[in-house]
Amino acid sequence: NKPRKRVFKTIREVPPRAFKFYMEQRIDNLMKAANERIERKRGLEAEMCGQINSMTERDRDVMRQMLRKKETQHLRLTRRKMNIDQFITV
Amino acid sequence: MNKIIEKAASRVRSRKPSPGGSTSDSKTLKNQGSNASCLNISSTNTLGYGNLRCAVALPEGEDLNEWIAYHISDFYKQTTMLYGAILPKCTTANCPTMSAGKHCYGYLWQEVSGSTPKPLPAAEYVDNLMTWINELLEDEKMFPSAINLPFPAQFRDNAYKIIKRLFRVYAHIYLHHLQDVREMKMEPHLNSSFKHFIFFVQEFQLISAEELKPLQEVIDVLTKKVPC
Ligand SMILES: [Zn+2]
Repeated sequence: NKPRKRVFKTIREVPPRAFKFYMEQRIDNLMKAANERIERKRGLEAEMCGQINSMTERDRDVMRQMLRKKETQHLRLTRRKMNIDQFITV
Repeated sequence: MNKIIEKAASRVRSRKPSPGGSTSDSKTLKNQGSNASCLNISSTNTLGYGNLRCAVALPEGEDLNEWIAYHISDFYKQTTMLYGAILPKCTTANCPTMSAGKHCYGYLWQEVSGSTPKPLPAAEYVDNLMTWINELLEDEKMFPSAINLPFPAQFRDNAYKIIKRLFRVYAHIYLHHLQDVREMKMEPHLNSSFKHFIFFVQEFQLISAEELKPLQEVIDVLTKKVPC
């Protein structure tokens, strides 16, 4: 007498292998993303250092502000992508 | 002889925690002096504690709501996959109610506000929980996905609730399915996921000490303070 199959609205069985693979990638990627973000900021500062004569402090702040805005948008796009991928089984 | 010592030494080294079982680390990072954040310091081959703790900190100038929303999507995905792997073991017979420790913490499900909260089999509880979160995630007004659309005033309240409840999924798995997790050889993956989650919770103080109690021991072990 097998118990009858359970029906769920949202949760699904996931092969342990898929979860493990996902986590390995995820931890890797989130470290990469954090480092790349630092690298972008550093890159911008380095580039502006090279323009010492042609850029005022105000110009620099505008550039920093633009980068921050891009970073926020990047987070949002990544989140949207994560949500879309939510139900694609590995 | 030297070879043997080297081998032994490398074994000792490799016993350092390696979340995700992954040994790769970002190799692109150079030490950049004052511009460098704390992340730069750890150049080990494992993904150590310090790294993860730093990775959840709010980047300079970032919008806190955006940062929280991003992490909620992430943790939702991690926990649905984690629980999905456990699901075959989380039967009504094994786990007739949603709890964290058999006689300690029971979680009741309240269908609509005002109705009486009732106990549910763990799987049903988690299914309801994930359904509720998923609806919020897909609600453009709550989690805006269009560029430049602002978060609503009640975003923070909902975010705290989601985080608080996701914690219960980890608590249930640690306290009722650790043996299953070990048999499936996914303990490092569970630990990495939870560590990521709890670092985030600690960084922004999202869950009360009372709620965290069932896993306090696990938290202490996993989050031993390591300087960034
Ligand atoms: Zn269970």
